Amino acid sequence: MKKILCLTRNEYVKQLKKPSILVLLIVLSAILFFSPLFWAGIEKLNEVSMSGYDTPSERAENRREVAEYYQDTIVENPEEQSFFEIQITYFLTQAQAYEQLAQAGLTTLRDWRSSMINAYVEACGQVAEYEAHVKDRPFPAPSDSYHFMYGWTGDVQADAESYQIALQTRDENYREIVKNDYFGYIRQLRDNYRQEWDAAKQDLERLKATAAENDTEENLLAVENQEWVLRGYESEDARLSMILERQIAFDDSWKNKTLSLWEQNAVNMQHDYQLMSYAEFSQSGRQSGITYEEYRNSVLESRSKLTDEITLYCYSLEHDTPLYNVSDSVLDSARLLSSKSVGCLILVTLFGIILASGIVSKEFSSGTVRLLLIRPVKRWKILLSKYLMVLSLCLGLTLLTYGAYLLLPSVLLGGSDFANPYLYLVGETVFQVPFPLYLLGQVMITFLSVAFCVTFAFFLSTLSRNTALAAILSAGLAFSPLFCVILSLFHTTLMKILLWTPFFYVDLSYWVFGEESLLLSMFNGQMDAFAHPGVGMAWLVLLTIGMLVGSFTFFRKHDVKN
Amino acid sequence: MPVLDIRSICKTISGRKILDQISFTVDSGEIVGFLGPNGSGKTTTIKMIMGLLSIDEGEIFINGCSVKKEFEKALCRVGGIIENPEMYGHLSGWTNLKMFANMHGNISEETIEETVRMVHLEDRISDKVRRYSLGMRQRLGVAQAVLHEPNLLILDEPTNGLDPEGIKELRDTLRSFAEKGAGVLVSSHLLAEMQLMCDRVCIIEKGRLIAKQSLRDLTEVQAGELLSYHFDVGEPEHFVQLLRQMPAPEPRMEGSSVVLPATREKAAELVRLLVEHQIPVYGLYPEQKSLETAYLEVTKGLSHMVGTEGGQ
Repeated sequence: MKKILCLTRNEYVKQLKKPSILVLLIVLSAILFFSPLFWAGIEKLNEVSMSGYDTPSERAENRREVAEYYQDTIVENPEEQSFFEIQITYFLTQAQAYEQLAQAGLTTLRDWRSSMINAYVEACGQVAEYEAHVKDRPFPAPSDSYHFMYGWTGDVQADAESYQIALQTRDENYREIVKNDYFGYIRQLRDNYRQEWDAAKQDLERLKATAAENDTEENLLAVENQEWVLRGYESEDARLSMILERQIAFDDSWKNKTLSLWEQNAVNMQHDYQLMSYAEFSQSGRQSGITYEEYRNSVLESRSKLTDEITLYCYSLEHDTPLYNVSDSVLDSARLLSSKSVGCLILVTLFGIILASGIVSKEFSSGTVRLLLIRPVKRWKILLSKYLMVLSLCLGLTLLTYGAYLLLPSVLLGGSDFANPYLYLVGETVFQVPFPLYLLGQVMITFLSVAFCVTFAFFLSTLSRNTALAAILSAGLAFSPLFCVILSLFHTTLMKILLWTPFFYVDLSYWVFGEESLLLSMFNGQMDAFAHPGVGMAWLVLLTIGMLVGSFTFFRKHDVKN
Repeated sequence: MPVLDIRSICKTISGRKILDQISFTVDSGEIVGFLGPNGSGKTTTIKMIMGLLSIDEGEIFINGCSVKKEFEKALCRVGGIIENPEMYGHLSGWTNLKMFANMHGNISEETIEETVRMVHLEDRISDKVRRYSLGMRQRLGVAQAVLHEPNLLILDEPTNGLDPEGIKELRDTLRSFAEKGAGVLVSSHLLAEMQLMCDRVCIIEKGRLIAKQSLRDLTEVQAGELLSYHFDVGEPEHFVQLLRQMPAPEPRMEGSSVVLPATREKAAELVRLLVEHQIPVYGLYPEQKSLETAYLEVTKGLSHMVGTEGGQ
């Protein structure tokens, strides 16, 4: 053991004193260490480019500028006058509407009333356009009918009716905006919702009755689908009730982000993931390469994904525990920032491959192997020390990165977010682990992939003694999940074959941390039992052991001829 | 017990028999030369002793331990240079030695320093090996071979790239090692070198050992063997005339010397003749039989006969 440590230290000296490796290592460590900064920087740039026109007066000013621009253009293109006049009316009216909102005390356009504000401003526009250009003119005028901003029919009575509706919309929205009663609005929403829900319940009863009379596949499926829709109503009702009970104000907090994700899921439940019958499925043309069974599984899996997410959202709000991934912006959550940075560990894989590809073969190509193997040290010890050197350096880099992922986001965004746990679901029960522990798990599972690729490079280097070959093939292996995804997009059968190979599983983090995983969402329901993170892990472990046995057997017996 | 005991080893590489039943020993305190033309199997044998090549048949014992079965124990008191000693060019000479020392364990910095002084590299030892001359690399190679005070030294063509002074130093180093009780095996194709260095030689050709004997035996003049004698005499013409009158090979003149092949008995008879005719004799020099001559005799003329004997 002491001997092996001593030999490993020798390998460190040999490798780290190579200027190229040393420079690479330093650059890599710096990149890994500061990678959270990189993500945060990108987000910051996005934020800057998206800002502006957030207040009514800013928006009004912008609309006025546009109107003035058209005013100038009329002088240059008098023949287009009628078109420009409509545009000018549109933008000036909008400017006036925003100014009016500003006078009424509205300071931001981005709160719960944003959809009302839009409706109000558009209604103002429609009213103004009717009054200025539609009401007293012979219509349709052949040349300018297509210039209108709103859909006038040319029918005097119908257009007058639209005008009346627009007036009503304008006034109603204005009242609501000025009243600014969020919870009243939510209560109203819930009341309307419950009426719809009741209607949906009656639909279900009707469908059940039909199915009881005639239990065809279609009828039974209709009942099942309607039950699914009702779960969506139930969920949305629970959401609105939670807002009211807990008096969750509308603001930028994580709670509203969670509520908004919840709403999306509830809406999806009401409208999507309806199961088609076999006959419908066969006619729909969706059966490209998948069987009805697979289609059905994929729908059911998507459904359970939606409800699982809702369970987590609900738990998070009830227990005042923010989920780390409710926001899109890494600037909102130190946990999201660090978790997103884990992808950078592919750089450790590449570095490990470079190191492992040369560590055996270069001893042969430089001839130093002749002085190395004549020592009173068994060959397996020499090989093991080389392997340990590469692996321990990669592990060190990974742990350094882990440390940086806890440290830098804390510095940038404050460390309090790391106190929040990571929530996960087993069956219907929500569990929590401290986030640093979860992150460590994520990092270590990624390290398994690093170790796998490094072992492959080491194996090739030992067998072929060709540095370039080992490096190129191993880098190919490291990126093979990506190639697999691309190939799978073209060919479902090919994907199914590839799922039996280890290539899909080279980056295990794809499979284990499935929530954000592109790969898992692609294969919803289409994976047979074989495609499973456990299977992937078994593949990697078995292959790693196999390659190590191969390397050691070969190296132990191999004659050094040159 | 011999330091190195090679017993009937064989090696076949890609279907070609490289070594066939090679056996010899190296005793402690003795320097054995390992001679043979290029491709005869010298390096293969040495690589098998040092564990670079597997042993197909036969056994090699170092200090009584089998290289096959107790590799670490067998190799712990062996030092060697095989072909050109390639070191890690990006490391300093010192770091190279330190790493090899680590592999042996228990070698103090003082020992390394002493070794460096012994091979006269103390001024350049912290330079990168990449910047060393060939001779300096050879000296560093010697240093790594003797670092752990081995009792068996195995050197493959150690004089390659050394200047005459370096060669003499190496000879002295080896001699001092042998005097301290180490066995030394040196392979070389420089015969003159071997003659100065070795106590004994093993000659190998085409994978078969064709001679193993002490230098004295090999270069000893047998009764009845012809040698060139240089007669430095006062009246060489007279002597030549005398020689022509008797049954003797045709002599030739070299300056004031008369040179002719003769046996030891014949030479004595000729001296008597010179004295009888009152020709002054200033000197009589029998030509030494060199290792080269012996080597050629063995590899060409006697190879078949001695080869059979060597194989036993």
